[in-house]
Amino acid sequence: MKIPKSIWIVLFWIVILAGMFGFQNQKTRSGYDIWVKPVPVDPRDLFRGDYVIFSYDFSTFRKSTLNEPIPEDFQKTVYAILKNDETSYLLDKFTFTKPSKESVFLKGFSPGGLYDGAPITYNIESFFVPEGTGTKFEQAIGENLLVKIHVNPNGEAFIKETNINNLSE
Amino acid sequence: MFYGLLAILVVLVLIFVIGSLPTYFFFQHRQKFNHSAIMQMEFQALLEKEKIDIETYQKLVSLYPLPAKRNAVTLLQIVYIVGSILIGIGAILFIASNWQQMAGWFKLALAAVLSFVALLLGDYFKQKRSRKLPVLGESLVLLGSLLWGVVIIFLFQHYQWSVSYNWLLVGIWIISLLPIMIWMKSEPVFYLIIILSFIFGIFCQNLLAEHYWIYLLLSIALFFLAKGNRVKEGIIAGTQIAFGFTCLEHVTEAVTFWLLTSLFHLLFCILRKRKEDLIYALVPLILAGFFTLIYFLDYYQEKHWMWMHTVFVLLALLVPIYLVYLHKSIAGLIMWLTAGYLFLWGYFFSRGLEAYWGGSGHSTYFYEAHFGYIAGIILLVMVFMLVFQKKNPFYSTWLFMTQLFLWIPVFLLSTKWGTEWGGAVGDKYLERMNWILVLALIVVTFIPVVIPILSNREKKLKWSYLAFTWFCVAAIFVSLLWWRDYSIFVINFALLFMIIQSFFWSYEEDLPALFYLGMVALLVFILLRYFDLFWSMMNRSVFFIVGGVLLVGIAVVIERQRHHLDRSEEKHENS
Repeated sequence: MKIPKSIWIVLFWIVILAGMFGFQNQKTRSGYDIWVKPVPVDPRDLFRGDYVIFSYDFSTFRKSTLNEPIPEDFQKTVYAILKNDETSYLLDKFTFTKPSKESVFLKGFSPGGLYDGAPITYNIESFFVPEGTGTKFEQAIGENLLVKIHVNPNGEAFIKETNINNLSE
Repeated sequence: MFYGLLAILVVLVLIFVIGSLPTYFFFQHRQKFNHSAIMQMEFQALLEKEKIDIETYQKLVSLYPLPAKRNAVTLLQIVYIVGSILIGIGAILFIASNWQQMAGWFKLALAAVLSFVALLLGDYFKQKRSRKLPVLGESLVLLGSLLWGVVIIFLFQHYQWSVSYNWLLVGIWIISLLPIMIWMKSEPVFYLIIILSFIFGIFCQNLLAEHYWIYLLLSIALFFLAKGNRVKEGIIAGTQIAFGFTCLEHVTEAVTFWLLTSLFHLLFCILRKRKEDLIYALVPLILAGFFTLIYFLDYYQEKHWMWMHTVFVLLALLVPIYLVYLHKSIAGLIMWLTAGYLFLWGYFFSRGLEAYWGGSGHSTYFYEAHFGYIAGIILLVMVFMLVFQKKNPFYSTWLFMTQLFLWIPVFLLSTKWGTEWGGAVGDKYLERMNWILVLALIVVTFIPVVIPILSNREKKLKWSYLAFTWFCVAAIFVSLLWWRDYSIFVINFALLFMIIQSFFWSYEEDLPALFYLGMVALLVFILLRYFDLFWSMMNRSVFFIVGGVLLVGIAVVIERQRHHLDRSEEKHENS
């Protein structure tokens, strides 16, 4: 019996779906979770609806937090080493070489080059929320709003959750 | 519960009635051409017996034309595709609302299963063994593709993958659809991929500012996949130009993109040795060059800029129209034109609106927006003259245009927005609309009287239709002047009656163009009233999904009934 083309396409789609699950699973399997302190604003995505943009103290490059010169062959990647500050993790310093596994660090990108005030992204800048709840996050600024991120051994991170519900309770 | 069931019953009756109306007229229209079909067969027999030569045969055949079947299918496709797109939008909005009451896995499973089922069912209906609903099959494949996008969107949202990965989201979606486009040869999915590639370009721009070439490469790949289809190539090229305009902030980059695209299109035609298509690629290239010239003139010497700009707009609109007329083909070029026209219109109109609402924009832009609008109407007239030129080109085109002119202000007045806005800014809006109505009425009266004389028509003018049109417009005037509270109902009923009348008119006068215009108007009317009545009552995603289901339902009724009519016709002919 000849299998219809659409069945093959559905199988292809299932493979893509499995790939996406696998990719996420691989990211979650290793690493650890930490809490960091954000500053949110509230825009809307074309496809995925309302989300809040988070900025962190390690989202802006400052030369004062650098103990080494910027290499000539700088390739947009910069590592932010974090230190524990009781409730959350804060920026300790920036570095260009991958830190040892003992330290908590994030892998960041600076597409526009490095200068004082240059933005650095870690792919933990957006958090999708239920429609119309973005204002809750705006109100939570200054109320110890924290974001839990999962960091793998390479310093790649994604957001797991926030403590917004605990704050409103 | 009772009211819910009643509502479902009303919707089903509505679907059946609205779906049956066009089918009836399709059938009646085709019946009228039975005589022509018999005559053509007779002429064919005479030609085969060498009683007449080929020239005489062609002359005789042209006296008995057959209706264009292809357009009828296209109209059905439009209803299906609009319905599918509405359902898709509703599903995307549902995911975007990030509704927490429903478990994530359930949302994912629902979207995935629905997309698989839509694709499999679509493939089934497209198969040769089930020829009953082939157009539905195509639209279900499109729906499956849209719902598959919803699955990907959901996963990206659920896993909180950054917005900067949106390019990846659209990229995965495009890759998933490629087998449908290449393997299942789905036309709507091809166009969906073109649109997605446009969105992909926009997202890439945010992340890869200096990598515009990625989008260019994608478009080039699509050029090859279009396999020489002019319409597809035209749309790909059109979206590239639009991308150049909408995404790049600086004019120089936009023009560079336009020039690059045009050059590639030209090269593509040369490499494929398609000499006849060179003109399609050359025109945008010349226009891009001309635009560059104006840009520099604007930069160095402003006083020459305005009139050069006007010449450019005229050239951009009229040269392609002339070429279309010369080559008797509207494919591709129209798409080029649409992209350029949309840009010009948007460019002028946005600035014009800003000036109109008291912004700092230059006031002359506003008038140029009207100029663009008029040029667009001229374009429409020309296209219709070309498409429906077989019979009475003058008469059918002008009757078509006068009805369009008449309906546009009535459509605007028929919306809540129209009357509310009119009330808010005094009666200026209504006054303006009234003047357009008067103008349209004069044209409606004038054209059917004069054009038959000009085009040597043998048939007498259908005064009854004209009288009914006058009556409807008079009712609108009276209600606006003395019966304002109920004018919205009068306007809506008058519009509906005029649309329905157009079916009878087109049938009596053998004017398919008017029939299709009436169908499109009926579709727009249903959508507008649906929008007016339910927008505030329903959740947005439910609103779109119900609207889409309604349209697909209507299209299924039309397609099924037409299938039955075709079958019964075939049986009748065989017997």
